[in-house]
Amino acid sequence: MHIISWLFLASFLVFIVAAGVALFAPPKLIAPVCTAAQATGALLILAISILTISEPSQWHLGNPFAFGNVPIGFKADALNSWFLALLSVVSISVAIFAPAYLKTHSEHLHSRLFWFCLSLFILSLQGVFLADNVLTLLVFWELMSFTSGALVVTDTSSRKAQKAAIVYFGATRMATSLLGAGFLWLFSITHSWSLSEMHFRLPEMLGPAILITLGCCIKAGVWPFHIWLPYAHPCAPAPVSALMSGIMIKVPIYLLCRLVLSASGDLLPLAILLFALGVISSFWGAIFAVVQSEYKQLLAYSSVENIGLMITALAVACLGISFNLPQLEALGLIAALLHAFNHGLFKSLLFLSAGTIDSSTHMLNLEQLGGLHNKLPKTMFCFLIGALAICAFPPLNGFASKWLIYQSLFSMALNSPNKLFAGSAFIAMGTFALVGALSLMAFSKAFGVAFLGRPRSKAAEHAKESAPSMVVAQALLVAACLGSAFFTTVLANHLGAQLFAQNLPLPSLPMPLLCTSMLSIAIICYVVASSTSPRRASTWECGYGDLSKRMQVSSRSYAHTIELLFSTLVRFVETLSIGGQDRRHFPEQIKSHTVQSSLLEVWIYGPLIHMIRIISQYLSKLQAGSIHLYLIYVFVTLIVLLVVGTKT
Amino acid sequence: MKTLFISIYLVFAIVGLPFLALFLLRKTKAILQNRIGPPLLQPLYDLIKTIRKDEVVSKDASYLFRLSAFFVFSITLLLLFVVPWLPLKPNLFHSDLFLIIYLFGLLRFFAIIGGLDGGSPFGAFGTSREAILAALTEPAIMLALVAVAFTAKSTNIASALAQVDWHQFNHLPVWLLAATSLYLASLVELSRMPIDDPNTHLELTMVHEAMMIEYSGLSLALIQAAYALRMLILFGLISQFLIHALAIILPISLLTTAILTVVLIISLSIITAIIESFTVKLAWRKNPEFVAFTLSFSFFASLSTLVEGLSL
Repeated sequence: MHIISWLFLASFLVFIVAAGVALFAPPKLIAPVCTAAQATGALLILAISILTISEPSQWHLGNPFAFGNVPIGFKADALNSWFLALLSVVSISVAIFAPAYLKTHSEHLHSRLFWFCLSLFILSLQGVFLADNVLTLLVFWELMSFTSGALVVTDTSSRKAQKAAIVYFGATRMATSLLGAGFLWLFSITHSWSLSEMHFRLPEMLGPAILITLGCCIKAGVWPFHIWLPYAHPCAPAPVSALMSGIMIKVPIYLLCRLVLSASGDLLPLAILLFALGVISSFWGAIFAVVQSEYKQLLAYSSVENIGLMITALAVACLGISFNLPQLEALGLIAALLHAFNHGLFKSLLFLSAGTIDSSTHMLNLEQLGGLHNKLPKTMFCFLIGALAICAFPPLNGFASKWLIYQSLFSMALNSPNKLFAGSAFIAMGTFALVGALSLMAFSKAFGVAFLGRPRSKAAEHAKESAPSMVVAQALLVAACLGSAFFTTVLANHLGAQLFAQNLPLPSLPMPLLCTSMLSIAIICYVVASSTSPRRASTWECGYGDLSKRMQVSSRSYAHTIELLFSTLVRFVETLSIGGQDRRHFPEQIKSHTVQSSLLEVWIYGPLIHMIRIISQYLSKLQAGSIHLYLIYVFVTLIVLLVVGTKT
Repeated sequence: MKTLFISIYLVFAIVGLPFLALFLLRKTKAILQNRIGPPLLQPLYDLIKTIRKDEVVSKDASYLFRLSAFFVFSITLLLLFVVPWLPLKPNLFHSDLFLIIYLFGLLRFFAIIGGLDGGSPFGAFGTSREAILAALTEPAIMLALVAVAFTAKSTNIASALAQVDWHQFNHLPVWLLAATSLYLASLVELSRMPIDDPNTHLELTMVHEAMMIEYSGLSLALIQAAYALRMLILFGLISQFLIHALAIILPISLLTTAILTVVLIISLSIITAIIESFTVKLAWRKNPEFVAFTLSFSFFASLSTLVEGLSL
């Protein structure tokens, strides 16, 4: 057997051992052993990715392990080794981060369940990325869905988490059934389960292609299927959110990339679908990110936005295939891949920083934070880098990949033979400019309200910098973000050379020059600014005496104009009740209650769920509880199947 | 000899022109209001006075407060070399339009952080408004620049400006519409009337001045200098667009371009002053309507590039 398959088996075993330890070991041993095991496993994954990044490798498990005559096969090549590298970096940080996080949340979180599911979750992510045939992929996909769903309800007593898990399971069931149906349909055309031999020839495979795409969109959280993200993320523990948002929602992107890479023919319907969904979800995600007050929900919506960007870049790649423009295809695909990679890094970083805020204050709402700058200075720095990267500011990695997405759109506008597509590319660029400015607003709000100003609650006032291990985990990801920014051009060219046979020139920015010059500017500014210490006085309060903690901007008031401007999308209802005897002149009690919901939930999902309820009321009459009735059903089904089966 | 002239020109444009533009802006407004107005070197005196003053920082502020002022200034300096706003100027990087837009975004991010730091309610109002205005104008700026870049088939604005399209009259509307859109957007970006009145007595109603209310001394001077330079960059870029539109009709030499740039920057600041004297500040809720004008100009600019590409 090949060395890579040994490495793979070793990492597999390590995760299984970690899961076993989590179930059976004495409580004191769980955290250190599991951390060590997961870090080892992650390093093994890194080794696989480094070894296979320029030479693909394929292996399968021995005879007893197979699905009928389909072996449990794996393949590592240039495409998935990037995702493996991402997985290993993020899981190392998560493994370092998690013990301290669990300690601060020990009264709520079920530690055995957490470590057991986390080990299996990372294992399944590795399996999904490496799977070479559809059956292996689906098995690991299911394991991934179940373990992540269980991780969302690690806080088993919380009603909110239970609801979130139900929504999440609903979404994953939909995704899996669509994927399963799509792959079965595909099998009936190609007669092969292998992913690498699966060549999408459109239009004859349009049906399965659309089913698989929709399944992937649900799992990735693309509009209008994104609603599980803002439910699941605030309830899940921060390390889990980091893995889910950083890696898991990239799995469908990876799958789509692989299918697009092998596709040929006329992909126009698919491209139009992806383009529309991508642009709408980036816009939708950005608007909703701005108006959130819970910082983990804000991060969840910003994931929707970034997934939209990747999906749009993939749509550009599909257009490149349909118009037979290999340059455009390569540009779109590489932009999507690099953005997935970079988003995985900085989104995990932001979720870990959010987890640090959570463990030192136990507050999830921005309105109760504030003034954390001198309590959590290191976390503040990490969060700042993450925020700068996710707003795509130069010279960080977010900019490098977003720049490629813009380049792919520009190239689409220049090269597409139909002017309608050029116009759509213009509209997409305009929308992304709006989205960029909105994400600036969202993250300046999150950063400004949480870290700057004065504390808005007792918890924020007495917050302490968290355990060093949490800071180390964040620092690792900060370093990864900076490194990825520095080497973006190299990464893009390497990917281009590996994935596409002919050498296609990609547009490039002098990122190393930009990085070094801007970093040196930052350092010089820091040295100069901190060389003098000016006089300190209270903030300007018009001479009325000290400002109270409530006399500063709240997260809601900061974004209120956006709520008003986009009030058709963001359903925002404020009810004000004034109580007391002479209410007009001497109000004794003023209550203001605000409800914020989304157009989609009010108009689409609400009625849909209502309809399903009514239908299931009627259907429940079938389930009368009588064994005779059930035997009749079985008999009737048998007859029907026999009739149908003999006819064909 | 030629090098000497070029360097004198560059030094004048980068160091002298912002003061001159600010002076003309104030002087024109003063004349229109029947006042005598400031002397020529007043902006310079103001800057020196601010630098020499003692600095006071809020006790609630973090180290990012002063750092943001330094960042704002140095990113503006970087932009000075990235944006092709002046002929004869060496361009430091590729003057890519997306890089330019996101560098402006970075500038804004640190300005916002500076406004929020310290927990001042005034500063927070200013930053919130600044962020919303930015979100509204960003698509307009993006579309205007993309439309222009599309005529040169490259995202490098400098190469779009460098291309010779003499007597290609179908390019004319693109450049003119993009310049108009950019001018209206820069009124928003620079917080001028009718979006923001920098001269009211109440910080509560303002955008830019409210955002920097907590700054004093050296930091304030840096932010004000950055503001003047930002005005120069934006007006310079608009003048390049206008000159390029003119070059479609008449052949223009490099020397004329260099002189025209200075003339246009000066006249744009005078026009701004005139607009400021004859308009009133819009109510906050009316601002999206003003921005809609900007956006529609850039829509038309992009439509005309696309239609031109249809090879009519």
